[in-house]
Amino acid sequence: MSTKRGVSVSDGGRASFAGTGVLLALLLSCEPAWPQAPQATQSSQTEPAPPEQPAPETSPSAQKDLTQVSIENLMDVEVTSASKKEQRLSQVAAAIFVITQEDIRSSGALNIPDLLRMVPGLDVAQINANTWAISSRGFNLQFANKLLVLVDGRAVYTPLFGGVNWDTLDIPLEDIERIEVIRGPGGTVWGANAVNGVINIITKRTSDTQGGLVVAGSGTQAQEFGTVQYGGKIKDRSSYRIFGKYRNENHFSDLNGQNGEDGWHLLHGGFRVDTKLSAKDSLTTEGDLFTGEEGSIIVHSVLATAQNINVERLASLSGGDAFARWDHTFSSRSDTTFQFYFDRYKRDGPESSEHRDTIDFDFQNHIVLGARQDLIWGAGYRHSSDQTSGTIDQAFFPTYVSGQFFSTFIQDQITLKRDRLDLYVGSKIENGYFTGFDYEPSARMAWTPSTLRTFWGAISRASRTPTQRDVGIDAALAALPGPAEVELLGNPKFKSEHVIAYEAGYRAQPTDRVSVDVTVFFNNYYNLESAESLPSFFDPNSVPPVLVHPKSYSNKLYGNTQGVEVSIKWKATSRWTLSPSYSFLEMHLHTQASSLDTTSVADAQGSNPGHQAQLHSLVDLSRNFTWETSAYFVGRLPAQFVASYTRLDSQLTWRPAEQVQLSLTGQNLLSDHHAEFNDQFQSVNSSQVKRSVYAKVTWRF
Amino acid sequence: MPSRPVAAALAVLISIAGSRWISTQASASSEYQVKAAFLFHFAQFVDWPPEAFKDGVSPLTYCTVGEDPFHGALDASLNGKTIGGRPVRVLHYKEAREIQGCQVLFVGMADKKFVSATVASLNGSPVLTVGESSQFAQQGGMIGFLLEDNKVRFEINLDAAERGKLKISARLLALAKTVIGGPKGT
Repeated sequence: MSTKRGVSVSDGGRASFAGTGVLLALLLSCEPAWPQAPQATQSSQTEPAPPEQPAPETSPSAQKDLTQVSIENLMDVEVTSASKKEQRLSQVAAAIFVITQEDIRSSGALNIPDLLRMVPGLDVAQINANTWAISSRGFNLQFANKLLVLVDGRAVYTPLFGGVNWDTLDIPLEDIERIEVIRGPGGTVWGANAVNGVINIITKRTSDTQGGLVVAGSGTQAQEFGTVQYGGKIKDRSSYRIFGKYRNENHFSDLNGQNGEDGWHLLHGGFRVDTKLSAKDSLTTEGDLFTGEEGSIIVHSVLATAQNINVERLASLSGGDAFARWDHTFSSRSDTTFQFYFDRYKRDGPESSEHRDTIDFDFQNHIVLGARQDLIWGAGYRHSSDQTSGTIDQAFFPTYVSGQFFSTFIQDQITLKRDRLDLYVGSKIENGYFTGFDYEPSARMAWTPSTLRTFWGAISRASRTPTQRDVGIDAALAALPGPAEVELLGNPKFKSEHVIAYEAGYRAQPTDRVSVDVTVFFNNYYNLESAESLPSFFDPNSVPPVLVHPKSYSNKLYGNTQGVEVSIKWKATSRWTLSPSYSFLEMHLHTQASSLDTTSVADAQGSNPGHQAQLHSLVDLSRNFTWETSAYFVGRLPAQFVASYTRLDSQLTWRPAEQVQLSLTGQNLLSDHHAEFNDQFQSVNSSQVKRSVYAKVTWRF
Repeated sequence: MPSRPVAAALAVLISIAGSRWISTQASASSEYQVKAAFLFHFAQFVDWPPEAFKDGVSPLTYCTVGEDPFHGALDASLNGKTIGGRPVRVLHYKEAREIQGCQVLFVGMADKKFVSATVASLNGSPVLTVGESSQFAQQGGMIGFLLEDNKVRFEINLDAAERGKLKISARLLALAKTVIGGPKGT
C-alpha cells in the first residue's frame, strides 16, 4: 500500500484568535483541571510541591508548613493561582483535562505524544520512531485533521495535510506550565480544525524558570537527550530564559522484525522574554530554531514492473518561529491582547518537500458587561505560502500556493445565577483559503449546584475546512500489472466537513479523596470526506504509458459517533494515588447513495480503538523516593490488523537534594515490541514500538 | 440511540449524582496555603478584648463564611496549633447570620452586597474580619488581602479594628500595604 492520502487538512486551523492562550487562561485554564486539577496550582517554583496533595485531615508532613515561616518571609512567597476567573476550571462547560507539571514529572514521558497518552478519550498511536497518529474521538490517521494544537496561542500544524508534525513539537517538558486538552468541538473560540479537540500547550513564564537547568539522559530508545537552560533578569522589568535541547532516537523494528530505519535526531534552541512595560502592559516574545534529520521506509510504486517496493528515505527538518504578544489591561473588567507570529519551516519529507512561511495576527478583547455578562471577541488574519516539490510517488498542484484566512469570533458568558448557572453562547465566522464563509456557533451551559459538583452540556457546530491536500494532491497509491496504477487525485470542489456535537458531562468530588469526571457525547457528521472511484483512462504521456484507475476526494460520507469518557482520581492513602480512566468510542458511518466509495467506511470505523483503559499509580516511598507506574490498554484496530495492546511504564525517582533529581524509567515493559498503527494511507511504513529503559538526571541551580 | 456503554455511563452518572457530598476538598492551591499562613500570623499580632472569649481557655475560633476558597487548606494549616495558649479551631458557615463564636472571620470572594452586609453585621464586634474582595478594607473590613505580582499583600482598616476593640500590633501595621484610619496605631 503505498502512499498517502492525507486525508485532508484543514487549513484553517486558525487558532483563532489571539489569545487562545489568553482566552484559555481567562476561561478555562483555571484551576486545575479536572481531575488532575488539584495539583496544577501546587507546583510553583517557590514552593516545591509534594507529588500529591495532602488530604486535609492527614498531616501534610511532606509539605512545608507555611505557618512556621515568619510573616515577613511570607510576604516574599510567590503564589501560583491568579484571577478569580481562573479558579473555575472545574466549572467549565467542556470536556477538559489538564496535564500538570506533576503529571509531566511522574509520567516518564520524554516527548509530548507520550504525555498525551494519559488523556482519556484521546487516541495516541505511534507509527514509527518519529511519526505519530493522534486524534480525539475518532478519525485517527497520520494526518489526523480534526484536532487543533496550540503552543502559547500559536497554531502548530502543517497546512498542507492538516496534521501536526509531532516530531518537531519539541518543547522542553520542564518549561511546560500545563497542557489543556479539550475533547469535542472548540470551534466557537478556536476555529477550524478544532472539530474533535483542542490541545493547548502553555509554557511557563520566565519568572518561573529563573536560574540554571541541566537535564541529561541516556537510554535504549532515546539514546542521548539533554536540555541546557538559563533564566535571568534584564534590569527590573524583564526576565528571560534561553535553552538548547538535543535528542537522538534509536530505530524501531519494522513489522517483520527488521530494522525500521526510522532513527532520528533533533537540535532545538529557543528563548522567551517577559517584559512588564507598565503597570497595565506586558509583552511576551518567544523564538526558536530547530534542525534535524529523520529516517523512514516508504513504499515506491514502480509502474514498469508493476512492483511496490520499500525504499529508505532520510528527511531533513528545519525551521523556526518568532512570536510576540502584547497584553493590555484597561481595568479589572476589560483587557485586550494583540499577538503576532511568523513561522517558517522546511521539511524534505517522504511525502514531498515543503517550504512554508506563515504570518499571523490576532486581536482579542475581553470585557465584563454589568454584573452578568462576560464578553470575549476577537479577529485574526493569517497568510501562509508554500512551495512544494513532489516525489516520484506524490505531488501537490499547484506547487506554489499562497492564501489568506480571516476569522472573527464572539463569545458571551452569561451568569444566570452567580456561581451556580452559566450560559455560554457564541460563534466564529471565518473565510478560508479554499472556502467561503463558514460559521461555527455553540451554546454551552454549566450548572454547579455546589462547589463539589458541576453538570454541563453543550451543542456546537464545527467545520473542518478543505486544504491543499483535499484539493490538489496527485499520488500514486499502487502499481498494478498492465502496467496500471491506482492514483489519488485532489478535488477542487471539495467542501468543508461538518459536525454537530451534543455533549454532556459531570465532575464531582464525592469525598475528599475521590474526584470523578464523566463525559458522554454524540456527534453527527455530514459532508465527510470519501474517496470516489472515477472512470479509468489510459495515460499515453506517462513513462511507461499506463492505465490509470483514479480515485478522487468527495464529501459523500456521513454518520455519527458516540462515546463515553470517565476518569477518576483516588487518593488511596496519604502516600498513594491511583488514577483509573476509561473511554469508549463507537463510529457509525455511511456513504451517500451516489457514492462509489466501498472502503472508507470500514477504514475509518476500524482505525480507532473502541475501548481504552488506563491505570496510573503514584507512590511516595519516602521523602526522597517516588515510584510511578502507568498501564495503558488500547483496543484493537480491525481495519489495520493491529492487535490490542497494553503498555506498561514504570519510573523510580530519587531526589537526593532539593536541586537534583535522578530517575530510572522503563517503557513498554510488557512486551519486546508491538505495533500501534498501520493505516494504508500513511506516508511511511509502520514500525513496532520497542521496550526501552532510560536514566535521567535533572539539576537546577 | 445510545448504545449500551453510553447508557451504562449515564446510569453511573446519575447514581454518582445521587451520592453524598462532603464539604472538604483534597486540593489546596498554594495561594490559599499562603493566605492560611497569613491568617495564622495575623492572630498573633492582634489582641482581643476579654469579652471576645468565653473564658481564658476557650479556643481561638477561625470561621469562613460563604464559599470556602481554602478547600481544606485552612483546616490543614491551623488544626492542632495553639495561639496565645488557646487551641485553634476552624468552622465553616454558609450564611452570615449563622456566624457565632468566631474571633477571626474570613469572607471569601462574593458579591459586594454579601461582603458589605456581612461586614456591617459584625461592625463593633470583637471579630477580626479578613477578606479578599477588592476594596474589602475600604468597605469596612479590617484586613483585606491583595495579590501583587503574585505575592500576597494586605491592607488594614484601623478604624474598623478599633470599633471592634481589637489592638493590632505595630509590626503588622508596618507590613501592611496601606493603613486606613489611624493614626495612633498600636
